[in-house]
Amino acid sequence: MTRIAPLGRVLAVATVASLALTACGGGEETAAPATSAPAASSSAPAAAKGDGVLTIGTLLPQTGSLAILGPPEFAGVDLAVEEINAAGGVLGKPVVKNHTDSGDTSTNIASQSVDKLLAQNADAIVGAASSGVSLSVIDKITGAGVVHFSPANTSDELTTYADKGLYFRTAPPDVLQGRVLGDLVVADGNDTVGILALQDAYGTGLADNTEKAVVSGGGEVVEKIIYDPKATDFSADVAKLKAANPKGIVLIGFAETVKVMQELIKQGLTTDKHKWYLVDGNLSNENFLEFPKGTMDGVKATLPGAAAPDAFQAKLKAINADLTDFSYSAESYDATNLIALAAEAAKSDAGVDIAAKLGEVSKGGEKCTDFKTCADLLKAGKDIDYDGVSGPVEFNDAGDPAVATIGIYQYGPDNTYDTKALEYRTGNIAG
Amino acid sequence: MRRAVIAFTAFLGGLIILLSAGAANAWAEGEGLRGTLTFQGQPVNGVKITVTTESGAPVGEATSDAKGAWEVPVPATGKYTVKLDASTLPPNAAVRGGNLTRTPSVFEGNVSTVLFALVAADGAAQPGEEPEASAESRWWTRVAQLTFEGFNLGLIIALAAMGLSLIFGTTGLTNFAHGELVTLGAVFTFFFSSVVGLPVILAGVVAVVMGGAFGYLQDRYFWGVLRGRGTGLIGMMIISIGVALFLRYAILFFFGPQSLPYNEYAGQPGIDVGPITAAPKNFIAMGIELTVLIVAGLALLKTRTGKAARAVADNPALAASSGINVDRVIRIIWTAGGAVAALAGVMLGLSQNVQYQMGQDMLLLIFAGVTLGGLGTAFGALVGALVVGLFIQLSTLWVPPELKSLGALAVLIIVLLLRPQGILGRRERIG
Repeated sequence: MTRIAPLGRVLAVATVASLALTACGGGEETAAPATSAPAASSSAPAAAKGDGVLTIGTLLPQTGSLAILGPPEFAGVDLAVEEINAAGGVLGKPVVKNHTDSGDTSTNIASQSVDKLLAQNADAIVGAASSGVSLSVIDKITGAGVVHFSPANTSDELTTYADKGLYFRTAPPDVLQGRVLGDLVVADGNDTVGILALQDAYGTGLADNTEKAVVSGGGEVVEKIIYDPKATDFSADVAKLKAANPKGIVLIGFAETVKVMQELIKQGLTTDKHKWYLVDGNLSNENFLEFPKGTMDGVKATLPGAAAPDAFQAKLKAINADLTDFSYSAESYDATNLIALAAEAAKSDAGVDIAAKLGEVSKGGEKCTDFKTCADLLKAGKDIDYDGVSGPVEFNDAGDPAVATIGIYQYGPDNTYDTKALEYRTGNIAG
Repeated sequence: MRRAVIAFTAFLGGLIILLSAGAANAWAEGEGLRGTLTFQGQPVNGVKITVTTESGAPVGEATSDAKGAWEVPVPATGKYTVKLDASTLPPNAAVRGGNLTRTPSVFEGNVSTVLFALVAADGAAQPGEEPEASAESRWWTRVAQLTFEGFNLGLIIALAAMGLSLIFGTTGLTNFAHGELVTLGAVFTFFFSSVVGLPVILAGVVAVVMGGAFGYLQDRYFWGVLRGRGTGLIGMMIISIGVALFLRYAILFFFGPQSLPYNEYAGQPGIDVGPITAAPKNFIAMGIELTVLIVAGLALLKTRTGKAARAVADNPALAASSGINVDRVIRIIWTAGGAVAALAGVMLGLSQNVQYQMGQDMLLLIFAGVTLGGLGTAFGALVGALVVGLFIQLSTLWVPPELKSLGALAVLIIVLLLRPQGILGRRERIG
């Protein structure tokens, strides 16, 4: 009989241990920047000062909650590198690319991938897709004097981050997407709006920007729920939303949005009675196919980036025939081209030299739209202004694009969206 | 209510037509403000809208046209004040909430939308009054829904907790790999339905059988061997963490990181049962779960094997010397535990999605349920798990949903302080 007591103690220890383990799983990322602290003291350390070969590493999602964004982004980088090398490479040598996985914020994959890329003498790293992941490795990358160039980060936290001038992105900060999304929600006549947003830098930032736009346009945000993406279920979150009974429901998140939607459908907040809005993190042509036909009919979504022209999409299909989404492919392509052009302009492949020239090649000069033309102009000693597939790409002092385009997409009864947008809205990030 | 829904649908329909007609040219004209006025599904003609700058200088006026649309171009970006002249509204209409002023911002090259939602002005449905009158009933609806969700979640936890509790009771092993047994149930179901092509119900049955077989094999070739060697309980607990990691990443390798629903019953629309809205699959799943739990509990109390299992839990040496085949009992418990855990996975995958971390995310709640209910009792795991499930869901009435697991863990701590043996556990003499 006395056996139970010590066993009970073991189980109590086990409960506490599992708590601690769970906590570790989520928190490990924060430890990563510490390792870069020594490197940070010298502004331009070792980082392969002009080893003659431009090495571009990618840190993009092959796994994790943003894995849907991975294939088009890798394809964008692959296409650009292929074209650059076909045009003779950078500084007379072919560009080297190394692909790595960024995982998501629940894993420590990104940190290991960055270590690997730095060990391979990367001069610039394209990634990550998730703002949360980028924030967890930005110190390590910029501390090593390497350019950190994201094609898809939209959190406005990254605008003001102390990045030593090495962080750039071709995706616009969420100020603009929030503004367009809010205006869209109001224009559809939703005077009461509910927002369900993922708890991270991206989710809360975009939710705040959207709320601001909705309120300014005359709508009312009756419920704003920030949820834990690792929660066992979302029924309580949805029940809270249902009690507020909003006309428009804005879903800001990643892959877990599918679970949230199942819960919305279960509790009767369906698209025939409420208007749903998605964003770039959960816009997908694959995730909703198992739903009954018509479930997603009329759902609208916003996605930063101008239309990827048919010719560009065809070229991407040649790289990866399985692509169904093209989210951020143009941004990835432009990021790679810009890095190559900046290296060409700086006549050096060192990260700090590339960063110093990125602003210059993106604006003010003779316009050109592909690597070969731009590189020829540079070799002729001209100042260039690279206009990419994703937009004019003109960097401001923070390394953000100053002007950007947001597309508005709509789902049909077959639960997929038309990759041709309903409309595109172009605006200044600053307003 | 029905009339309101019809009116609202018609209103949205009209709006979409209006927008698609007006949008194309509106953007080209530079900055401005616009909106569409509709009342009970009909456009409202002849309403006067006045736009002034923030300081009150007049900018322009517009009157809504036959389609209810109005637009005022503005000279520059910035904040404007938009006023609606209530005297020009139809006599029975009013602006929702009574505020006739909006202060939108206009950004470069964009037209901002301003929304005045119109509602009936007569006494029966005063703006703002209707939602307040139903606020209390909405709250109770939410309580009912959350109670239902608590049982829904609690029963799934109970299934998993029962296996863990039985294995712990008979062998003393705190099995951290139990969460992965749950995941396996869902993954097997997914494999046999989506890949092999069986109907989901049949696939679920196969998954439960496979789960049982996996439990049997684990004990036959792994845990039984360790037990025979006399490995300590703490050592076995650490080994189980290793097994959990191994299984989790093996699942990740074969299944991938996505979160996928079964190919049937995904997004099954909810039906209203009294104040509760839930999908038919939820009710059926809960019925199956409850039946299995009660049958298992009774089997433990009434059958020979059940009595033998409880004897082994009390004192294995004494049980062995009184003629019980301890190893056989433990093997039956492992088989049953694995099968019931797999059933929990099948049900969890049904109400949400299949994902490689689904079991791990629930493990803490399973431990909480076991500890809370008390060890060595037939129905302890059931009661403990239901309390955990209910607390998680109902606590969201007061705490933000992202903190919902806190409630369950708080109640765990309080119960263990007051009743260290758990809710149903027998008081043991310690020392």
